[in-house]
Amino acid sequence: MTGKKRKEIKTHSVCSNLVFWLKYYFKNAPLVLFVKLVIVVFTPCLNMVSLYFPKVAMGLVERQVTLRTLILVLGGYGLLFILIKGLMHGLTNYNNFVARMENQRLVFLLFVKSLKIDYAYTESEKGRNAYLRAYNAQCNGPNEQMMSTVMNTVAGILSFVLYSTVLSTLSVGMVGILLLLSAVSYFVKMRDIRFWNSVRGERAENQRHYNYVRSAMGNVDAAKDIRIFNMGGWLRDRMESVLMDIRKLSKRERFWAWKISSLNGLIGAVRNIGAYAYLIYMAVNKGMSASDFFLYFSAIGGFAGFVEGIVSSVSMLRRLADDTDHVRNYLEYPEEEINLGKRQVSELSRPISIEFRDVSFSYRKGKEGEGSVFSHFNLKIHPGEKLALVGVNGAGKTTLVKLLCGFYEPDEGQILFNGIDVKEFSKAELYGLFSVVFQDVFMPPFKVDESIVLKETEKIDQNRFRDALERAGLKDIFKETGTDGLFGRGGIELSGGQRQRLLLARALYKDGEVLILDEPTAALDPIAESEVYGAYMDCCQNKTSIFISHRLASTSFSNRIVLLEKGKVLEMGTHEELMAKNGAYAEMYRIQSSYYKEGTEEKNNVCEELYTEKIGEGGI
Amino acid sequence: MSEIKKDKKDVKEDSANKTEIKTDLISKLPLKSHLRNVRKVLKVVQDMNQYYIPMYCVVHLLHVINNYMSLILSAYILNALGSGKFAGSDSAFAELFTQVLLYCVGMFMLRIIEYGVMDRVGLEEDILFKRFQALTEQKMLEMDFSQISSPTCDALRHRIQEDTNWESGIYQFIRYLNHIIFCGMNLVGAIVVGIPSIKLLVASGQYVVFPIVLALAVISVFTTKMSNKYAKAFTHALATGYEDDGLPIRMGWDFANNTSIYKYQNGKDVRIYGGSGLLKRYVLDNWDAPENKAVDRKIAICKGKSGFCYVVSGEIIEKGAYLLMAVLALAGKMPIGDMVKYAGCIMTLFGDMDRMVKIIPDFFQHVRKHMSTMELLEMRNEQYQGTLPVEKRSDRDYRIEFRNVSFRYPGSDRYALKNFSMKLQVGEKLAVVGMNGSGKTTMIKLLCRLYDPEEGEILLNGVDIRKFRQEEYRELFSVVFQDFQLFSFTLGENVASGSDFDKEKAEKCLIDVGLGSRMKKLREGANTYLYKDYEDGEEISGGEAQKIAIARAVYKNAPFILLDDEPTAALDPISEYDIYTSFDRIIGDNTAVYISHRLSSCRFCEKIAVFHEGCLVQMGSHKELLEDMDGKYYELWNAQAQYYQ
Repeated sequence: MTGKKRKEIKTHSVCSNLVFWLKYYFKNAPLVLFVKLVIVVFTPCLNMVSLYFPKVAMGLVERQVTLRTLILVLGGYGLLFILIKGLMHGLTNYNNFVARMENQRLVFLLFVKSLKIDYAYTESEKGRNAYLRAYNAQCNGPNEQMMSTVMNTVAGILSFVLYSTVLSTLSVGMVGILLLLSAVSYFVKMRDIRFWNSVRGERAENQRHYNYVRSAMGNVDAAKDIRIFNMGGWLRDRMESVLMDIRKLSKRERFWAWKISSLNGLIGAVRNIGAYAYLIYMAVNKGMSASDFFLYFSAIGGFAGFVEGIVSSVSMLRRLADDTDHVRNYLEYPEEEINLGKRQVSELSRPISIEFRDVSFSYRKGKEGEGSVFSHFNLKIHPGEKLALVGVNGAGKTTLVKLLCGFYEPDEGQILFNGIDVKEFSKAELYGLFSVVFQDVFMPPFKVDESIVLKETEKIDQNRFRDALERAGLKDIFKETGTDGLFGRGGIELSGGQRQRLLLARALYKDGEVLILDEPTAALDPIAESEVYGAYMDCCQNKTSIFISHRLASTSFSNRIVLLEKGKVLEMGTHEELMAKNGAYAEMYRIQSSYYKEGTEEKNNVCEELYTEKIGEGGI
Repeated sequence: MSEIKKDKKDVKEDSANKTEIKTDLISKLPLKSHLRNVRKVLKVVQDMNQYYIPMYCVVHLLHVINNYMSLILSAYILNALGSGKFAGSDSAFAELFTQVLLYCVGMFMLRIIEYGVMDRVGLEEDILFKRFQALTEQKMLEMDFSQISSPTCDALRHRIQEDTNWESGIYQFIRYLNHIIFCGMNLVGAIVVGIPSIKLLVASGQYVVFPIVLALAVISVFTTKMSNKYAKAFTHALATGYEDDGLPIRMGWDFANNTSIYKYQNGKDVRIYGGSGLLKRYVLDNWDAPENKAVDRKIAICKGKSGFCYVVSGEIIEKGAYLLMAVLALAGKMPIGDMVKYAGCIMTLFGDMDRMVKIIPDFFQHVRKHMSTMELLEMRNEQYQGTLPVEKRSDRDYRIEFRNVSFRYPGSDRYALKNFSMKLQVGEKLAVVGMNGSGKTTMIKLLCRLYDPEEGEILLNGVDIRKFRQEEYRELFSVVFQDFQLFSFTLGENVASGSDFDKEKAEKCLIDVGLGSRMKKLREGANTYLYKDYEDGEEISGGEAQKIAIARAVYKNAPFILLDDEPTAALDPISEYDIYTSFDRIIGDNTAVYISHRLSSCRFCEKIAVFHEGCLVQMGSHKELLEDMDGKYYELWNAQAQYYQ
């Protein structure tokens, strides 16, 4: 992560993030916390008992106790240990499972959150990246990992303290030397961590490349192209090149790992030899018993393990905190305020008139004129009017719709319904006014009625639903399967035209005051197209409607046509008026209609002219 | 995270799947089958890298040796100290210590070698894993097209995804295998080093030993059985506990994680239609429902109990071994140092045996998850592979004829083409029109031999196309499908469909389709990457992508150019006109077939073929067809042209 990007993301401290998770678990799964606490307290104790067990056994033998004493003491000690350890392990298993449920749940929370945030944010690059980052971070389970890591660290520290106590009965100096060796281990570990962090970027890039090439090879949609154009060799070449990069990095990584392991091995060997030297000396010359020898040697060995563990855990915390930041930033992002409104939509007389007054808007804020879609834009739509909005891609048609629906707010100017600024109404009511058919078809894989109406079954008026289906021309389609079936994989599959009708049914069921159609017939054949338009016409008699299309055929259904170009109304009027004007609209119309008119020769000439004009303007 | 995906498998959803599923993970298999499965996967690994597993074995061997050396050393020292031989003399210290020192240095050397081999193994492993993961995709490159798009294959790929949990890697397999090999070696070591203790136990004359051994055995076996019982209950509950009215709980999971079901753009619909409640119900409320939570708890408790029993069964052996050895040592049958050594060996012996017993079934169960992948890899291409070379004609006189062709898509009962006959003349420009589903695209796919007809034949210059070498035959065609795909590699590569390309030729093609100025504006011209999936490349619009796809078709310079299903559907009239005039220019003398919904392209073609319900119903020039006012063409034409009259 570069320094620049970090400023955009709020970073919290490790402690703050830890508290965040603690609060989450406390609210949703408090038992998990309690069990973790128990584990943290008991684990160091168990470690100590485990450490002392061989000593106790050997000690009893050294002291030549009776067989009965041996069996009772050792047996009892062992049994107690086993039961407690078993309990700890069982609790850990239980906890792990329950805790991991929360991992998945948090992903769901992210999804649900995305539905409540401003649409504008979710559509923006910033918002999309934020979601992706949060999602990827949550897949690592930072909630569970962070808690575990902290618990392990605490347990490790406790064990460390206990072991130090044991060793200090032998020699305080010993503890000092061990701490010194541990410090060396620590530096080695830090260096190791730094290395692995440094290669993480390259690793991720390799992984991304690999994943992409793999998905390309397995892309079923591309299978036709791959065979026709014989792309197999190309993709395999790409795969080999990616593997080559991976191999290069891997060599570096593995060599490094070997160096570090060997270094750690050396430190361990030095420690062992030193320990042996000291302890053997004590045993030979100071009469230390064999059992004590074993105890202290084990303690020395275990000591190093704890230090290493603590260091690993602490170093992981920052990374886990980073993951947590991503998740947290998204979950804490302010939600859309949809219920605040001064006036009621019910006040508005129907049908509704719409006015854009002096509206300016650009997607990228803060940069003068750059990315500006509208600048002092004015448009009045009369109540009950059917308006066709035409223009080339990028003229601003879809943006206009998004502004109207309330997904974006104009930077300057106002949007008025029946003369009232839309800001006076609550967003929820505003959304409720519209029936929109967007270009991106959304048909979730739920039950038929739920998928179409986008409400839970119990909230659906079945009569109204059936009526909407019928008016959309879909009465027969569900005769066999019934409306209890599921959409999507394994369920009901529909053709493009049928899907369009489902969207129509959705719009009809809602029966919004303002109907907006954004390119509803792009994928349909002419007959289906004309049927769909016909169906919409039947249904929006008394409603204000806006049709967006760059197929001029749709304009025949409208009262008025508005030709947009680069955020401005270039021409406006009925079809006849605009043709008489002989401007840009007439030109577009002529080009399109040229295909359908008789007398080939003329048309080609007309088109040639217009075409060469465009070339001259540098427009292509 | 991945464990959850794996565990919450929904059995019910699978049974609702219409096509036959050959593999399943629930039924019991005989040992022979398990071994066969393992061998299958092993063979794949060995074929990819024959040294990998042997090297790993070396690593394990060194590791095991080191472990036992360590054990033996401590026993030796303890014995030496306990025997009192070395008490109180400096030379004694020096003598003992020197031995220890040499021993330690030896162990350290062994360690270094072990790490070195480990390093080498790791290097091979990284590549091996990646290659293995890509096997499925490699296979898909080679498969018949008719197989890839068939419902069987689709179901199989879905199965593979479920089984392998979106990982399809061999990481877990290798881990299990290594675990087993390591345990095996450890066991051998334990037996070798620890066998004297058994003799001692039996011949010790300490009769208390036998009841202790009995007690240990009974407890251990009992707790192991309990542990397995709970583990099975756990797996069972996971697979079946979440069923909920036929709407799998996975639904929410798929929804929140699968961007082909929900894209951020769909948020508009959700807000306008107030659908957030519905989505929340399926995604979150489902999950939080008390019944599900109760199941979660039940499952977790099973896991907990299983864990408890597992630990007890292991630890009882460990501590019990110590007890037994202590008894023997107390009776003077063995020195105190050996107590530690033999206790360690017995611990390892039973511990690893226990581990093996537990791991092996897990391993076998895991290997089953790879079987769906193996099934895919073993699929054989069914299309007949002809051997005739295609005559390369400089005059490009290729004649195609469809003779009484009938065809149904795999898994469908409806005939996409029925008794279809048509002749295609070289140099002809043919427009193909008809309603959705009338067979236009199907004809193209059969023409390129993506599928073979069920009845009838397709002839190239009088010879059945199946007799030709498939690769050579496909060289005759350039196709732009409606759902064409570009890859996120460089522009030039996309145009040339290859990593080596003729830069000038590619640039010329791009200029011809009208992307000349756009290309010049790119940072690296034809070497610029497209999209942002692979590198941070250039985003291109839908219209530009279409032009690139056309440039690709042009670059190939094939005698037949097929433009399928409205390459201009998303364009405004000016760009659309632009494309059509470019086609005309580019295609030149080659044979071209346009599929068109909107009939606009018909004006550029001499002949028009009208499809309806899988048959060719009309063929002729635009003028001729319009004269037939009862015909389909007339109907289609008027449906569109009415707006422009």
